[in-house]
Order: sequence, then structure tokens, then C-alpha cells
Amino acid sequence: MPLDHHLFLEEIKMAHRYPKPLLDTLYCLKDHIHWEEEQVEDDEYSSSTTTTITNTNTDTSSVVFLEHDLFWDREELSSLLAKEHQNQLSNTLQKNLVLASSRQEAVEWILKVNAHYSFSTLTAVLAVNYLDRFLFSFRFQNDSNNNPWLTQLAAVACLSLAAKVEETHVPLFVDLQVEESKYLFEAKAVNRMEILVLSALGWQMNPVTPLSFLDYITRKLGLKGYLCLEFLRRCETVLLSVFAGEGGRMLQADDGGCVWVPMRRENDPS
Amino acid sequence: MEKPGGGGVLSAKEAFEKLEKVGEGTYGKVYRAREKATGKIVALKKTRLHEDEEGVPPTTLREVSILRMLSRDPHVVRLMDVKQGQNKEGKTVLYLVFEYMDTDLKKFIRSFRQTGQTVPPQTIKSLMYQLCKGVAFCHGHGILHRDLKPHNLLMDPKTMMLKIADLGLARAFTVPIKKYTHEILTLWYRAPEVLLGATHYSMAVDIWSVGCIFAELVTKQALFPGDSELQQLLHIFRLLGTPNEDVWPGVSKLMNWHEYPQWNPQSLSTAVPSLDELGLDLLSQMLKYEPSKRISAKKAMEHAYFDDLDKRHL
Repeated sequence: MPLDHHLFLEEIKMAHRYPKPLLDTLYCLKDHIHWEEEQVEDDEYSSSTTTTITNTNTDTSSVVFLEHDLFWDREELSSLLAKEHQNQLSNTLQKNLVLASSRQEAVEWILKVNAHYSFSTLTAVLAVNYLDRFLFSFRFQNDSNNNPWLTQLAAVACLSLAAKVEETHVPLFVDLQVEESKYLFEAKAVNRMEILVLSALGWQMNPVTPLSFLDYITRKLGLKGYLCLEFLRRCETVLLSVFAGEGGRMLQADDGGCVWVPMRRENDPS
Repeated sequence: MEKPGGGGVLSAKEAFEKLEKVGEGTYGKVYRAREKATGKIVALKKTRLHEDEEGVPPTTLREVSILRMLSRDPHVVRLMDVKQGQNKEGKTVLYLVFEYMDTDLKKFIRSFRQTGQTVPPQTIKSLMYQLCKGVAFCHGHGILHRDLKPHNLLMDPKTMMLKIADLGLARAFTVPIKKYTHEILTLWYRAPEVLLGATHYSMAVDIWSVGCIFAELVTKQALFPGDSELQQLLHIFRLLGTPNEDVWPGVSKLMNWHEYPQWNPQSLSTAVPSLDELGLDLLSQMLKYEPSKRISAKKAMEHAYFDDLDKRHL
């Protein structure tokens, strides 16, 4: 079957990017998913869910769907990797503990508001990406030592911008500030900060994120319907946990690949 | 008057001389203007930011961000700069500075309709190839346009170059594509799944629009000129047949599905009589009911209809 051959070639290419043990994990998970997929078909509830998620259950259509998307294959991963280079962050946090502390508070605030409004994981990832890029733009670093409230104002602006890019409904600036914070900013201040952030980031508001790689990996595995959503939900949960974890570690875009390890443990039948 | 932004940086007002208003974009007015420093003609798209309101509009934010990603392709209009300025009342204004294009496909088609001439077949082929190439580039970068129509396709009538513009409704997409609100889209080029209330868009919505534009280039009339959502659907069903679960699995579960008059499909050649066999085949693949069966922009570029087109300069 030509499709399997193609997938295999893609996996060979990925070996250059990910260490071999991770590839082993990938094979294992693939087998597991196949079993789980068969299980899903036996379950009436899952079948019903699948029906509402996708327009069709026929194998033929699924194959066609894969075929329709396969034209991305050759260029897409290399395109993501090329763009990712532009997103590499500096090590400034290690030298600026005051900034690191206010950044972590800001990230925690973003995650809380994201959960409050049931925004997508991508909205949270985008908001943190904007905040990090903004904090590391040259002209901002010196100011933040004297004005810790600036980091929080930047967080409000970054979450607002992320919601505008990705969500269908964006709360008002005042309503966005629902979670406890030392500061409450009026609309005018957030408005001006939005412009400042946009200028600092060169209006590049669709960066490569870990979710970009998950998108690619999911389609390579041929996941569809309920299984696709469940897989993505778990990956997103892991990503958000990394954000919220000790130290508020900054994600590189290709950390999407590292999600495989905890996923494997979670799915281990033993 | 003190210069906003400090030394060396000209405000938008000082950098450009507005020549004439040429239209209204998705959000704000568009002017033809001359850059004073270089004499270059540009298009200025103006967006006022109300400081007492909610900041940068999502449509402006998406358009600029997406154009920052896409500006390398010759078939997507080039965003040259973003400038802030202030209007007479001191309010902040954003100016998007675009390359200027003399006309758009809507005016181009209208000029042929007025003279009674048909658009030359090789011209149609070249324009369609460029459109497919631009759309393939957008889709290859994870961008849906969602508002493709002749008015948004800018042209240089001397070179017959075509560029996709007005990405204010465009979206970056990931899998699964998130549920979106039902936003206003030009009816005539709207895909049936959107009309029937599907909120999970795919790249196929743009391909449907491309198909409608293709037919319009040939006949100089809109293929499906509905004046309401229901009329739009009925126009489509009269030509392509009323869809059912056999031709479009899942169609009866879409939110806006009702009982409709039952029409049998007609041959596309009845609607586009002067298009050749290869063109009709390509068009039929762009107008498949089931979104996943619709041809992709990249595959469309490889279709035999374009085999005899000289692509060296496209």
C-alpha cells in the first residue's frame, strides 16, 4: 500500500529531528492507537460521538481525506522547522530573577483566564508566546525592573491579542481581567499596550508553536474523529501542565514532540 | 506641530500624499497614495482605533499577521509596512501600506461584459492558474481566505498578473479546525456546507469560491447569484442537483438542513457552455458537494486543463 510506504519515509525523516528512543515510543504508541481505534468502533456511545464529530465513518472516505491532506507532506515539516528558528528565545530569564518572577505570575494569570473563558489551548500558547517575545525585545527589559505592573499589563494585552487572533468571541478588556491580580487596567491602557506589543513583535502573530507540530504528527498518524480529538486533548493537557509547572519553563515549539513520552506512560496497558 | 513618534520617523500623513479614495476594505477605507520619499504609488488601508473601545480590530490583526507570513508569494498582495498616525481629532489611526494594483477581477470581467467580448481562453487559463497557485500557497501555510471573490482579486491589466487580497476574514487553521461563528461572507461564492450551517471550515470552502470565479470568468455572469441564503442554496441545487446522503454523507445532519425541492443534477456545460472538456472536468472537481472530495488547489494546478499554459512567468 503506497500510503504506508509514504508514512514510513516520513518517519525516517523525523529520525533526524527526534532521538531514536522517541521513535521507538512512536512505533509503540502507533500500535496501541490501532487497537484503541478498533475498541472505539464497538462502543455505541463512542460511535455516536464519532458520528457527530465527522461527516462520515466509511473507510474509503477516511483514506480520501488522508490523500487530500498528503500534499503537505514534503514541505510542511521543513517549513515548520525553518519558521521555528525565528522563534528561539534568549536566556535572559536566568539572569533577571525579578523578571522571571513577574513573568511566571503573568503566565499563571493567562492560564486562569484562559480556563475561565474556555478559550482554546492555542489561545493560551499564543498569549504566552507573545508575552515571551515582548519581554525579550530589547527596549522592554530595562523598564520592567522598575515597573512590575508592566508585565501584568503586557499579559492582559497579549491574551487579548491571542483571543482576537484565535477566538470567535473576545471579552471586553475590563471583563478579561476576571482573575485576581494586583492591578486592574482601564481599556485605554490595554489599548495602548496592544499597539506597543504589536510593534515590538512586528505584527507576526501566527508563530510556529508546539501545537503546529502536534497538528502535523496527528495527521501523519492518520488519527481521525473521536480518537483524533482525544489524542489532541491529552497532548494539550500535557503542554499546559508544562506551562504551569515549577519554574514556568518556556516551551520551544518542537516540545510538541516531547509530549510523546508522558503520553506513552499514560496509555501503557500494563 | 510636533511629530508623533520622535525624530526621523515620519508619520503616515507626512510620508504619503493621498491621491484618491478607491474603496472600502473589510474594515476601513482604502486610498491610492504616493510615497513622498520615493514617488512610489501605494494603496493605503486606513483603520481607526477608538481609544475608548477595544483596541486593534481582530480583522486588522489577522490580516496583518497573515500577510506577514504570506508576503513572499507573487500571487498574494504585498504588505509593505504598517504605520501609526493620528487623525485631526488626535485619535490613533493605523495605515496598512500595500503595493498598488490598478484593477480587480470584478472590474475586469465587467469591462468585457460591457463591450460584449468574451475573455480570451488563454487569459482565463492564466488567471485561473495564478489563482490556484496563490490559494495553494495560502493553504500550504495553514491559511484559509474565506472571502475569495472577484473584488478581492487584484490585477495588473498590462501584465495580467493576479494577486489575492483582503485577508481580513482569513484564518490560520490547525486540526481540528475550531468552531467559528457564522460570519458575513459574500453569498455568491459561499460553499454549500457553510450555507447549511457547518461551522467546521476546511480548505475546501476556498476551492468552492475558486470554482465559482472560474465559471464567472467564462460566462461573465455569476454562476450562483442568490440574494438570500435560501435562494443561494436553491441556485446551487438547481444546477448540481439537490444533495442527499448518497452524494454527500452527513449532509442531512447539518444544522440548517431542511426539506428542499428535489432537482436532478444538470450537466455543467449547460451553465458554462463555452468551456472545453478539460475545463469542465476541473470545474466539476472544484464544485463537489462533499468538502473532502473537492480538489485541492495544489492538485488543481496539476490538472490537464493547464497543460498547454506557458507557466514560465507565473
